Amino acid sequence: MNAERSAAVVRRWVAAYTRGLPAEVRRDRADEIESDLWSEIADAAAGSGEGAVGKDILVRLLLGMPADIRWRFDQPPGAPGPVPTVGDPTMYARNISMISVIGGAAWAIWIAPAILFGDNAWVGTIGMITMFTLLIGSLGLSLATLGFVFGNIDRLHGIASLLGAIGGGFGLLLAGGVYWGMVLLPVGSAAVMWNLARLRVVSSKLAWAHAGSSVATSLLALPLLTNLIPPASAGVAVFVLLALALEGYALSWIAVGWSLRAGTWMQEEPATT
Amino acid sequence: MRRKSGALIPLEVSILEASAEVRRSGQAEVHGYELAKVVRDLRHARRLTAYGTLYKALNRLERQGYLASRWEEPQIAADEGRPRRRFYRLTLEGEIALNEARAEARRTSAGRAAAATVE
Repeated sequence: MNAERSAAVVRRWVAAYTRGLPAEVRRDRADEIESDLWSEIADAAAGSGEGAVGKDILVRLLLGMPADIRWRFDQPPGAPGPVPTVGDPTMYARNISMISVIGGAAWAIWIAPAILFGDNAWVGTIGMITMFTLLIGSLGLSLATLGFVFGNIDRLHGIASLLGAIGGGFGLLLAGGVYWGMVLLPVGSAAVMWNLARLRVVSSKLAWAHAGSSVATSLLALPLLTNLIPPASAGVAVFVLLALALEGYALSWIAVGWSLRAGTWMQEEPATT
Repeated sequence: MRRKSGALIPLEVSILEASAEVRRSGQAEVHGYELAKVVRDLRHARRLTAYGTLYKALNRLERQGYLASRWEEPQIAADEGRPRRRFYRLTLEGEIALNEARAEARRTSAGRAAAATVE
């Protein structure tokens, strides 16, 4: 993609995430990004190739998207309304930690009937339990992943943020039957937990457990989803291993959430004066 | 692990370092893209800092009082045929915070070196 097309994508993104903000805030952000784009393209005209700068602009856009979203939520609303108060980071962190525990527990429950009862796990009373816990588990773990991303957006590596945001997004769709979430949610949450372990927010043992079960889940679910191994002809061993990986993934979420339950992991915004 | 109020993350330290570097070179103020280039060089990174991450960090540093900013006169930008720029400069508070961050980094690396020697 050439530089001008990439710049147009950036402009559309800025217009989208600043919508609804006071005109002055919108204009300032748009002008600042416009100035940056202009300087980068002018630099490229003098040096590096245009294709290279077009790609660089897109990469800068993608890696910064989670921070843009977090910035947007930090802004006071444009319309007159109540004066915004600074959120309590500890309360936010506690909520996300508890959502991790609840989501992990629900996720751990739905796998059991799915394995024990096969197709019958989705009908009758058992089916209701399976569906309900799958729904709560998927929503919980997705929201927890997104919560960890946005709660640490300034210190997480851009790629970890991006994978976390994509995984969290697909995890939400999992509740609606988009089973790619089974592959992408573990990948995203593993990237986030791994990065949080490097930042010493999560213990390295928990991060290893989480990453290990995530990789196992994704690797086992991927061939089934892509029909590389047709589910009908997959042996029992594949499903048993997948169930173990999913249970491990759920338990690692419970452990992470529980270890952070005090809510002190959240980075603090500076006090406003 | 809780981040102390006012504590700086690595990108913020890099931005303050870049601002100090620019000032040492005789330039009082610097705009976002130029800062991103200096940060990239200081960090020996291949790419410029992402838009969202860079401008959010600049926003935070300004709220913390470590950077001050001003918009250039629109006429100057119009005369040069480019968009107006927002210029940032390092404040005294920013300089103090940068020195503290450097001292903290030195203490940490000295502690690690001592631990490695003991092992």
